[in-house]
Amino acid sequence: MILRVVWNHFRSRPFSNFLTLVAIAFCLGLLGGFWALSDNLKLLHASKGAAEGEMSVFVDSSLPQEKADAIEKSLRSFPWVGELTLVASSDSIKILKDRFGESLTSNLGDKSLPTTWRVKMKNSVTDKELQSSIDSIRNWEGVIDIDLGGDLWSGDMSKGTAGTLSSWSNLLFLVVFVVVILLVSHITRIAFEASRDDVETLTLMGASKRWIFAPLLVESCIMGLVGSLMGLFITVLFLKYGLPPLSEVLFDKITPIQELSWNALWKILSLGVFASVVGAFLTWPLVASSGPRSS
Amino acid sequence: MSASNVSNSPYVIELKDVEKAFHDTGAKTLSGIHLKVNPGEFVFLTGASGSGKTTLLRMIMGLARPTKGEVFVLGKPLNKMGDSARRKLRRNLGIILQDHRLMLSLNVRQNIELPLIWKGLSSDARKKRIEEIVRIMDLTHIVNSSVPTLSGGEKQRVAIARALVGAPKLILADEPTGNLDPPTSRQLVRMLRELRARGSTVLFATHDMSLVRDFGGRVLELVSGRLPADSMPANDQRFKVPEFWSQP
Repeated sequence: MILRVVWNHFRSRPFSNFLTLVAIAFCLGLLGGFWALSDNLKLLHASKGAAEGEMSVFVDSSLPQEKADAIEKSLRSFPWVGELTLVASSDSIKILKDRFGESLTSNLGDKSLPTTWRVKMKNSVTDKELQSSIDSIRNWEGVIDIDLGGDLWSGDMSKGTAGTLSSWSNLLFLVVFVVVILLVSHITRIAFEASRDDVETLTLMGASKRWIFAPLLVESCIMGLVGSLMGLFITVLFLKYGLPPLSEVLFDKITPIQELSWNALWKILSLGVFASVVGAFLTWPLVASSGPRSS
Repeated sequence: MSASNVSNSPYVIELKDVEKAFHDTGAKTLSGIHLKVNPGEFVFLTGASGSGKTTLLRMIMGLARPTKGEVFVLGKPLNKMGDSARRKLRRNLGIILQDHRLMLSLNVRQNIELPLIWKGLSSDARKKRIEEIVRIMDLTHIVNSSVPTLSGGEKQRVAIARALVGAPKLILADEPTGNLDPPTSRQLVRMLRELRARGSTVLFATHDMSLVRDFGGRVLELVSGRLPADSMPANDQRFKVPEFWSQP
């Protein structure tokens, strides 16, 4: 019954519903495209690191010994890890002073530097393998940052490429979330206004507010789901036909990743559906105050 | 306050000194209305246009609140019930309006099925009841038709079937014969009067005095918001309140 009402809502306004779907798909496709670009930039970063053959993993100096040991053990478990050297915090300062002189390093003072694991990579490591490992290591407890190359702590690495990408990614995610909510809320409001006569009849007959709201919620979820799938389709089109020519300009000699990770796929689908549900609930006050009003 | 905490009424409809005034002008559309309707009665509510028939019915449906006085429907005090409780109460009413108020997006069967869904009947029970009511209302040949394809008379019959399918204890009809030809109107009144035998109470608002003359019975006449004429007040009726009425 509810699906029949929903179907009739769709049928009665095909153009505005289609436009909304396209707008949702565009927003989510944009997000998917950005994630694809972001993945490829990370790959580029990893590729350069692999070329240098060395990586530094910065670990919180105050970490308990057993946790520090666990990090070492986990690092050694990667097949691409060759030699592993620990540089203690005090040694880091000494090395920096030897390398750059007292005057240039005086600003460090007694500031505690992180413990550094210098990792020499085997030649067999691939760019994708390295990038995937880096993403995983970043999430370990106690790991402050990672630098590809053999450098010591520069003090500002968290604002590097990964940090910037992460910030932009979060911002874009938030913007798309809000825009999808507004789009769905708008089309749900139109659907509700168009069916005011039916709502009055249902209220007169004693239908609950939840029953009246159900078709609007189902309609929104379908919009979110179909919009997300269309967004994924746009992303796939971008990966297949847009990214290769773009990579020639942006990524020198790097073969772009032309597939969307499962993580990104689920994120886009969930975002579309969840934002749609939120958008539908924005029309709840209208439903709550609907029907032949008690006067 | 929950309705169960307050005193109920033994009547299907009871109005005590009810008054209704417009918020903006303060003009009274209803004034000093006292009314008692027993279970199983068929009552005509008559009066000229603007006499307050629809306002009175809306009040009994729980869609309008009295400015003064108390309204009891199916024994429950509407004044003290919230919006949700009044919605639930309306599920036990059969409401028939002049404009059929069918959902255009649903077909005939689905329109008739709506009250049964809210009553929580199983799919089989719903199917059985719909089959019976469409047979009685002679709607079998159009049961799967969409509403916009029906004639005015067919739409009204569907609306009546929808009002009756839930076996309501109280049927409120507001000018239901307005769009029907005289024979169909009489047929409708005859059918509603027959429902008395099954314990249903009918309040039938109409300005068609020929119907009232032909069928007779209890007639309430509203004049400028007052109820000066009640041909057969409830206290004088022979109807006995069934014992189950006071049961929860």
